[in-house]
Amino acid sequence: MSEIQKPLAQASSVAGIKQGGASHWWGQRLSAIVLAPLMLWFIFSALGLVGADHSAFVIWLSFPVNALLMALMVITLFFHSQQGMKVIVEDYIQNVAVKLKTLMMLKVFAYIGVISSLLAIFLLHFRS
Amino acid sequence: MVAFNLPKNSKITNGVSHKAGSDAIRIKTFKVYRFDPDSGNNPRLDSFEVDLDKCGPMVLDALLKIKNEMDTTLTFRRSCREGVCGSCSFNIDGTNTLACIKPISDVKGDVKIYPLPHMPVIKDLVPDLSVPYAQYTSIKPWLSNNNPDEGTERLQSPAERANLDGLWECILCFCCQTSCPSYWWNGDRYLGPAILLQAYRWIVDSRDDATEERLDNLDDPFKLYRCHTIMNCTNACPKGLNPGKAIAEIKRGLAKRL
Amino acid sequence: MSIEEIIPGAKSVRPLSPHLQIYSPQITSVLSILHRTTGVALTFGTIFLVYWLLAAAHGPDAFERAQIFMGSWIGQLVLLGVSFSFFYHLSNGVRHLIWDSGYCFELSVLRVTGIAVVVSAFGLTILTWIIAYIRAGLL
Ligand code: HEM
Ligand code: HEM
Ligand code: SF4
Ligand code: SF4
Ligand code: FES
Repeated sequence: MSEIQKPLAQASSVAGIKQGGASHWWGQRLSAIVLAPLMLWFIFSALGLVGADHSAFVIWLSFPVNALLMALMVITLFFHSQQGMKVIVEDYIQNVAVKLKTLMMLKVFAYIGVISSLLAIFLLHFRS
Repeated sequence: MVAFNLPKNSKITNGVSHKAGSDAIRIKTFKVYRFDPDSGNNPRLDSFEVDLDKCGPMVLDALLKIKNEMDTTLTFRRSCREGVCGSCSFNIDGTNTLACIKPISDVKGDVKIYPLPHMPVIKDLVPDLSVPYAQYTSIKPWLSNNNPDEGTERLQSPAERANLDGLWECILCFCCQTSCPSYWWNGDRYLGPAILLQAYRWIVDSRDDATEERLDNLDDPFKLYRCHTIMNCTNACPKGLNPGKAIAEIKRGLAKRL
Repeated sequence: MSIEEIIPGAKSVRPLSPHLQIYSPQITSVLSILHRTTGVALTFGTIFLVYWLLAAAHGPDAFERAQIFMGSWIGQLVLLGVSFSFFYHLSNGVRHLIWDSGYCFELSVLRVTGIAVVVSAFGLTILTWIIAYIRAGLL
């Protein structure tokens, strides 16, 4: 192998990137397709809650449809955002150790976000 | 982090100014990137005043006039002077294109000419294209057929042949390749639009039997999926081809196999 | 034979040709980096969503404080940024999905859909804020 071909040999063995590209790409598209109507529904609902007090918000979340859609939205949201941020980190951070650390932090951020949101939705839903 | 700034040895300094003759009426200034590997100096930007009344209409005509009459050391690639060989690709007036089919009259103000972006420079406007050529080799740009001994032509229907239109015309000038920000940041591992368009050219060829292996080879987070559909590539292609669309077709082909 | 064998040190002396410094901004690349920027902004925006939900779960007092923060000028500024980011990212996200289906790659169409995305992002943001202000009794 000539020297100029070495970078190519490394291409498929980049540390910290184990996934085949197609499944990640497809996950980003699928989550985007699910997210679009869910987020629009959420904004529509949030507009309905402008100026609402706590009890009005609790009543809104006590409807199973609302609680379910909120939970679905939060899960999709953090999945999509974490997958997207992963691509950005892979693009710009070349130091392997720093890259792995950043990717790990992104994952932790997403898990904390999903779990605390789901917990809040669960508690609020069963409060009334 | 990826370096968004130029390294110290690549910062561009002010160069030499060459004046046009005193009888010149229509003068256009060309600012040309120069790098002399023997000097040990940083690259510089020379400026050349060209008498348009004694120059052909294209940017390449001006470069040739400068080389013939003002500074014979100016170094650049060119061959066909009609947009079919892919040699004279530079960054002209802020975008990548072929100097031989870029009219000088298209450029308002001074004509700035740099080598193709984010490439190691050998001399003046000549970049080292070893990496893109090695990447081209890696996609096996030749027919792979399981029946090599048919002894006749391999026939295609007109529809099968039409699939190759918009792909076979590529002259590997690398205008698209070096216009892509993703290729700038990850050019050692991302194959880039020119190579991916070529890869697709073999994937859609009805006579080729290696379609699945070709797709396998591209199912990689870096070789293919650094393309974020920025579309600078299609914007740049001087042959009017659409590498961005070719890449999208590869991604669709891969998604269908999931 | 490698370049280093022919000219020792050739690789290290070669300068890198200019890139971001000289490439003209293209409507294609500007809209694309905006998609990325708004994606990152929205990712930070999720912190506010989580805070809002947690405050509500905590009780009326915490929820009240969250609502007051969201209503303050700094809260409004954040919400304005998040909402614009969302509508831009949504509009351009749909454009991405159309591309991913293999359509609208022609250069002329590329410009039209790009402009449509910007108009839609501003329009939806303004519409949302008009509705919010009417509902809050401020308009
Ligand atoms: C509402 C509907 C949404 C749609 C349709 C959508 C669509 C997309 C698409 C298609 C991509 C892929 C871009 C690419 O391949 O380069 C993407 C990337 C991304 N999305 Fe979304 N998205 C949506 C919402 C969100 C939300 C709410 C967030 C964050 C909380 C988010 C965060 C991201 C991130 C971080 C990326 C990666 C950006 C990059 O690589 O430059 N998206 N989105
Ligand atoms: C809080 C909400 C959101 C956040 C934080 C967010 C964040 C991001 C990020 C960081 C990216 C990376 C883009 C890339 O790969 O280059 C991205 C991509 C994308 N997002 Fe979002 N996004 C959000 C909501 C949405 C929504 C609601 C949609 C669609 C309706 C959407 C559609 C897309 C699409 C299509 C891409 C792919 C674009 C691309 O490949 O460049 N996003 N998003
Ligand atoms: S579409 Fe964009 S990211 Fe993809 S190859 Fe072209 S310029 Fe690069
Ligand atoms: S696709 Fe166009 S710009 Fe790219 S290498 Fe081929 S001819 Fe040149
Ligand atoms: S000299 Fe052949 S393409 Fe310009």
